[in-house]
Parts: sequence; structure tokens; C-alpha cells
Amino acid sequence: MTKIRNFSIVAHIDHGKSTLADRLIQMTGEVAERDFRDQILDSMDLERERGITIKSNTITLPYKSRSGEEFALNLIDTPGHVDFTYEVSRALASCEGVLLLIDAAQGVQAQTLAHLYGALEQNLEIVPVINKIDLPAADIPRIKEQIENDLGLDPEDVVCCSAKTGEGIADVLEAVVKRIPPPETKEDAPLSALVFDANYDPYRGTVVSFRIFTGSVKKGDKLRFMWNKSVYDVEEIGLFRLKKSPQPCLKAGQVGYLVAGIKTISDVRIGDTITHNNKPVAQPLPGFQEVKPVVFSSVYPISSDDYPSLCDAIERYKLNDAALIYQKDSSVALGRGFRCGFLGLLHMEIFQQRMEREHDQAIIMTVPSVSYRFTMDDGSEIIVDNPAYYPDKNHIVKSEEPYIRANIMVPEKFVGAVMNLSTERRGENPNFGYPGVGRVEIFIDLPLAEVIFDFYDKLKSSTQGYGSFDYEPIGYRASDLVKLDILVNKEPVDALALMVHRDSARTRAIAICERLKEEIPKQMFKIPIQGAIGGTIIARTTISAFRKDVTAKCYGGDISRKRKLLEKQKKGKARMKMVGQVEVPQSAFISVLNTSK
Amino acid sequence: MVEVFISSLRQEMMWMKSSTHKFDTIYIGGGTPSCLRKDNLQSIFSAVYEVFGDVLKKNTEITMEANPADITSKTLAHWKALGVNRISLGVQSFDDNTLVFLGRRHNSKSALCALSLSVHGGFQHVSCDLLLGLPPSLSKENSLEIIAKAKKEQEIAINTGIDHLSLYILTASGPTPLNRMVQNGAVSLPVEDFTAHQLLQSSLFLKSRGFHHYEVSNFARGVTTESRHNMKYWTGLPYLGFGPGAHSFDGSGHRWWNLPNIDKYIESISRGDIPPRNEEFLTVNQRRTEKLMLGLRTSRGVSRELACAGGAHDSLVTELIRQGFLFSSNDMLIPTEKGMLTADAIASKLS
Repeated sequence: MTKIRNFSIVAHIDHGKSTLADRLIQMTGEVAERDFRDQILDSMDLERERGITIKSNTITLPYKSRSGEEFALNLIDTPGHVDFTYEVSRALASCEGVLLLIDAAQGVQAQTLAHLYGALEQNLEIVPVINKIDLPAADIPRIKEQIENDLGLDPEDVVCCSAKTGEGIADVLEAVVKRIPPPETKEDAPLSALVFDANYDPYRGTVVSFRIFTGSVKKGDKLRFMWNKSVYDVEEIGLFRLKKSPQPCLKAGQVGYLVAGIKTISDVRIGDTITHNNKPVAQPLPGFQEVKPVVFSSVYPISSDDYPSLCDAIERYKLNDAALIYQKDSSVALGRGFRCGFLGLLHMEIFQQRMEREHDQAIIMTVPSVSYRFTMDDGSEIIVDNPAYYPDKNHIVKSEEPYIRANIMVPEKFVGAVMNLSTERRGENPNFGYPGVGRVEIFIDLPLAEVIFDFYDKLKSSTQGYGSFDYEPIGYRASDLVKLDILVNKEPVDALALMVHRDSARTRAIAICERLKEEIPKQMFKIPIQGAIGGTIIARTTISAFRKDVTAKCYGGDISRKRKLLEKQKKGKARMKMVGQVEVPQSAFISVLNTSK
Repeated sequence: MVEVFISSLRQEMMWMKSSTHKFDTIYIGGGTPSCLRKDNLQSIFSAVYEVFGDVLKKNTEITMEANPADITSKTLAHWKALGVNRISLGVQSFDDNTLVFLGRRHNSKSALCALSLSVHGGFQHVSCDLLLGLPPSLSKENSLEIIAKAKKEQEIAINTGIDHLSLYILTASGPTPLNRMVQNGAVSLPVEDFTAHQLLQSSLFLKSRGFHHYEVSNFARGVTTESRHNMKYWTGLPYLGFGPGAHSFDGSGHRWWNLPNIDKYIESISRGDIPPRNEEFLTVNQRRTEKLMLGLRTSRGVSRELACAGGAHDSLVTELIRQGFLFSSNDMLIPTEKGMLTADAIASKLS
């Protein structure tokens, strides 16, 4: 019987997770050299481009160890961004161990720690791996020191490698089979399997990735998804090789996929427990959570005529992204669209780019918002994520906004910069940890709304790229919130409204007004652009009127050319949104998203 | 070569004769017909009179577009004898540096001389073209001085006794040497707001001298001195154009124009074919757009009915009046100075 090891690779962003995965695949002979594309597991273009894994992929690698034993190594890939913490936790729950990858030059970073804690919570075996030892700046002794001091792991256990050159990869594979324990294999118990991922296949429906803890499953079985309370017949089960490899049966300890006529990915919930319908386990596996969106934005077609096409596209997109939630929305300025909820800003960005590239949609997305909580004078509580539904301020007793606790890790000399940035973003309650010489870990509470605006970019730039960042939600806190209206030619533009803290309102209003002034072309009339809270104007700019718009010479009877020119200009203007009599280009709406940059 | 061309022109006129009614303006222009040899010009006029003599009205306005460098009392006398009663002189500027920059064959002195000779040569109407919006680098003056200088040039022109003035704004577009210079940064043109200001100031000045602003670029001393021919383009009346690149309109919805290649023009006609041309048949909407676009260029304006489009633009029209772009006179909407300078934008909004 082939022995099994189930493991993941976890790492701070850019520490080489995908490169190592590819190298392992290549070393075990699962893919011929000529077929080897860099970063096989990152299959979406977007992932390749940004160097991060968004949608995880899993693969079973055959491996013959140095002692001659045959192994099946199940490499469970995990999404590499804080927006997807829950998905990561479910992937880790399917493993017995992790390779904790650390960059030989950058050393331990915030996400390294977050992953360590995540793995410890699941009681996993942790194999520290120092990657990129080929770099000129690699400093193995220093990193080993960090591993001992920051992470509390034994530096003797460290494996060194370069996923890029292939050096040390054989040692990594040996460490996987020697150090990571085999899964328990209670095949006779009732079936209990964890759903850790799901993908949509246009021909087969949803393909569920799962790990069997107890029992076994075969084709034709009637399966129950315990949280979802749904029942399906297994059409096919199998292992993830580079292509799916159907099997008659899968047993406890194994990782595989199943196809069961599940129409959409939203019919499956990550973290659900699968069992046999007629012989269920007593309890589902622990750790299941409903995934809740935290960032909200409305999406509109650039041309209102494209709304039906946007409807189709968003439905198709949703097939492959269960985390997206959406509902119909409409705006006076932008017409019909959708209000969408995302796991985080990156998730939102992925949505935007995939809608544009893969679904060919020209869209505008409004300023992202978090969901605020209002207690009203009649005692009711309202959750509002859309400024359009900001409640009547005369009846608000209490306003609250969601906070996160940030964990920021920086070299000592950047502490001042980080504290400045955090204070600017209304950070509270700082705590400092000193995990190693010259390195500081800062814990600070921040409003989520402040983090979703380019906090990470700002952190990177103010720490010369050394600052690393992770966060966890810590609930709602009281806050002095206001609704900021943006008025173009004295008319409020609903799509530009936002909810902000009173202290940030003026700065944001000025920035938005200035940006709009740059983006809205001069018109026949002078156009005031104003930011207002209630009836009070707190920022103002003016777009001056143009004084000339006429073709100077109109002779010789060539009228057609002039008319065509006018028709062409008119067509260009049709792509603008009319706000009253003002033509506002799409770029103006888009630019407002960037006002804090 | 010129003779062959003129016989082609004559042939084209013969073919088109059946599609015209009586008319009262003739315009010899486009390029510089003034440089034609006396006998060639004579042949053209003979052709026109021979073909169209029976449909020419009395008091026909016959305009000759002329380069000041070609003006002598002899040529003027000849033109007068041919029936020309209106002369349009492409003076452009009275500044010699500017004229060199523009590549003109004349200088300020010969321009002034050409204007005086024309006025005193017994022509009913004499018009002078001047340019605004010259590159600031040509003159060392500041904005105020540039405007003062433009007025000075207009003053020189009208003091010669002319009754019509066209003020054009220098524009860079297409594959012209000027556009190349603008593109590569060798020359920069003033911003549109400044040229707009210059034109408004000029208009005020000319008004004080009895010239009214009847079209974006045109000023006339009294209604009877307006260019009747050009006015037809702007009011949607029919016209026939002959020669390469000439445009024609049937007055309702058919526009056609000869392609500009002169060799192909001559060749087709010699084969007995009409010259190569393009044409278009206007839709109702296109016709409306044209009426708006052209009407708003002139002090005639457009009818309120046309502008309001059955009520669809009532509030926009009210706003345009309130903001001082248009004013209402009987059933017409007339552009103000400010409105005339933004005629395309208004037409675009109303179309």
C-alpha cells in the first residue's frame, strides 16, 4: 500500500511558494520538462501576473523516497492573501503538516507568523524551509536565528533550498515523508470528509476538493453535505494528478475530488463535512464558518446598454467564486448595476480585473465601503454597507464601524513611520513586541475602512518595502460617522457618496473634488464641484467654462466633414454619464477610487 | 494643361446645367484663381456665361478670391470687365515677419496697396482676410499688446474703405508644415480661451466701427455687404461646385463632392464620365444637425421649433438663454457673441 502525506506550503507573499510547488511537481516527475511552465499551480493569468495564488489547486505527487518506499504526496495549495484566511484554514485542516517557507533574505514576516499560528492551531507538524538561498543577499545564519527566536522552532530542523535552482529540493521531499506524520486511516468508521475547495467546470459542474478523515467513498454513493443539508449522488471520484484521474474508491487519509451533478459552486460551502446519507457521522468536522463579505462596492456597466451583458457576466463569474455576494442596485447617475460584497480589497480587485479580461465587461466600480452599524432611537439596529441607504441622521443614537487588529512587522528604524501612518488612519491601542534584534512587531487596532484604502501600499512605501502586514477582525466599535455627498453642479451624485469618519471627511472631500476637477472636461457652464455633509459644504472646486467650441472656418460648401466631426464628438460624449447638464466621463468615477493614493 | 482643365470644367458645367434653377451668386475660389493667366480666366468666365447665362439672375454676386500679390490696376480692370463685383483678399496680416512665417508672396505694403486698389477699382464689395491666434513666439508682445495689435491691423484694413472682414483663427491640423511644427514643439499656438477672447475683443471693436458680426468669422458693414454666396452654405440653400474637390448640395438632402485629384478629374471627363466623386444622402436627423450647426454660426440663428425638438430640449434652451448663449427674437433663437463661439457645443447638445 502506498503511503500518504498530506501537506501545504505556507509563506509570506513573494517568499516563493508557487515556485517551490512547481519544483516539487517537476522533481517527482509528475510533469515532463518540456511541459513545465513556471508556476503550474497558479493557473489564472492574473495570478501569474501578480505572483500570488488566488484560487488554490491541489495535486497528488508520486514519490519514491531515499529508502525506496513509495509515497503519494498530496500537496494542498492555499490562497496566499489575507482576504482568504478562512479558505487557508480549511486547507490546513486537511493536512498533517506544512512547509513554512521563509525567504533567505527577507526573513520572518507578518504573514510568516500568521501562518505559523494557523498551523499551530490545527496541531500540524511544521517544517521550516529557508528558500532562495541562491540570492546574493541570503543570510542563512540570521534567518535561522529568527526561526529560533521569532517562531520558537528548532533551527536544527530547518531545510535550506532554492526553488529557483533546484538546490536542496530533494531534502525538502525527504523532510516531507520523514517529518510529517502519516494520516490516520480509520476506513471502517462512517465517512467524514472535509470540503476544502471547489472549482467550477463548465462541462461537469462543481468539482469538490476534499480530504477523507474516516471511512471511504466510491462512485455511486449517496452523499450528504452536512452544513448545507443537501444530498448528491457521486458521479465520479478521483485523484488530482496534473489532470484529474478517476478512481473506483477513495479511503481515509486520501485527498481527492468528486463530481456529483452540483450545478453551481455556491451550492457547496468550503469547510462543510461530507458523509454518507444513509450512515452519517454523528458530528460534522469542527471549524465551519459562513464566509461573510467585508468590503462592498457597486458595479455598473460603462454604457447602460450593456447591463444585460453585465448580468450574464456576473452570473458566470459567480459560478467560480462562491465568496462573491451580489444583489441588484441602481444609481441615478450610473443606472442599473449590482451591489457586491467581497472578502477584501484584493478579492474586489480580482473581481474587477476578471470581469474586464475574462468576461469582457467595461465597468465602473464605486468607492469601496465597509458595513456600518447604526442603532436607531427606536432601539433597532441597521447594518448599512451602501451610502445610498445611510439612515436619517436625526434618528441615529449610535454609529459603529468594524475594526481589525493589525499585526505589522518591521525593522526597528521604521517604527516611527508605521506609527505615523497608523495614527493618520485612526489607529488605537498600540502594542509592541520585540521578537528579535532590530525587529519590532506592532499590534494596533484600526478601522477596517481605513485599511481598505491602500493601507498596505502606504505601509510598503513608508517602510521601503520591509513592512509586512496581517490582520484579524475584532468587531464593531463606536465611531463618529457622517455621509459625505459629492455635488456636481449642485446636484448630489449618488454613486460618489461615501460614509466616512467625521475627521477624515474634509480631507477626503477635498481630494475627491480635486480629482473630479482634473477628470471632468470643461463644459459650456461653470461647474461647481462640492463636498457636503448634510447641507454644509466642506470642500469646493470649480471647473471653469470653455469659451470656444466652434470650427473656425466653414467654407467651400464642405459641410459633411464638419457634421461628421460633430457626430463623432457627440458619440464620444454618449460614453459620458450625464449628471444634470454635466457630462462626466467614466474616468472621473474611476479616479475617485484612487483619491487616497 | 490649363486649357485642358478649363475645357473639362466647361464640360462638367454643361452636364450639371439641367439640375439648376436660377441663381444669383458665383464664387471663383479655392486656391488662388487670381494667378491664372488673363486668357485662361477669360475662358472660364466665358464658359460660365455660355452655359448658365439664361439662368443667371440680375445683380448676381460674382466673387473672386485673390492673393494680394496678384493685384495690379490692370488685373483689377480685367476682372471688372469679366463681371467680378466682389473681391476677397487673403491679406492675413500686416506684419512682415508673420507673412514670412506664413509663407506668403506679399508683404504688408503690397497688401495695403491691393486693398486700396480694389476699393478704388470700382468693385461693389471688397473683403479682407486677417488671421488671429498666431503663435505667441512670433511677437514679443504680451496678451494685451497682442490684442491691441490685432485691433490695429483691423483698423488699417477698414481704413482702406473695405466693407467686409473675415477673421480666421490659425489652426494646426492634418499633414501641414504648421501642424508638424506644432507637434514637434517648434511652434506653439495660443490656448483656445485666449483666441476666443481675442475674437470677442475684435468683435467689440469692429462693432464700434459699424461692422456687425454675422457669422463666426465674418463681419460686414451693413446687411447688404454680407457674402451672399457663403451665406448659402450656412442657410442650407442649393449650390453647385465645379472642379476637383468642389462640393455641391441640392438644398434638401443630397450632398456630393468631386475627389481632389486633378488628373483623374480631367481623365474621367475626357472619357465622357462624370468626375470621380463621393456623395451622401442625409437622414432627417443629419439634416437637423446641420441646420443647428450652421444656423448657430450665424446671427440669423435657428428657429425655436428646430432647437426645441418638439419639447425635448425646452429646459436646455431655457438654460442656454439664462446663461447668455442665446436670445429669443420672434420665433428664432439667436446666438450671442458667447453663443456663436460655442456654436458646435450648443449644436451638439441640441442635436
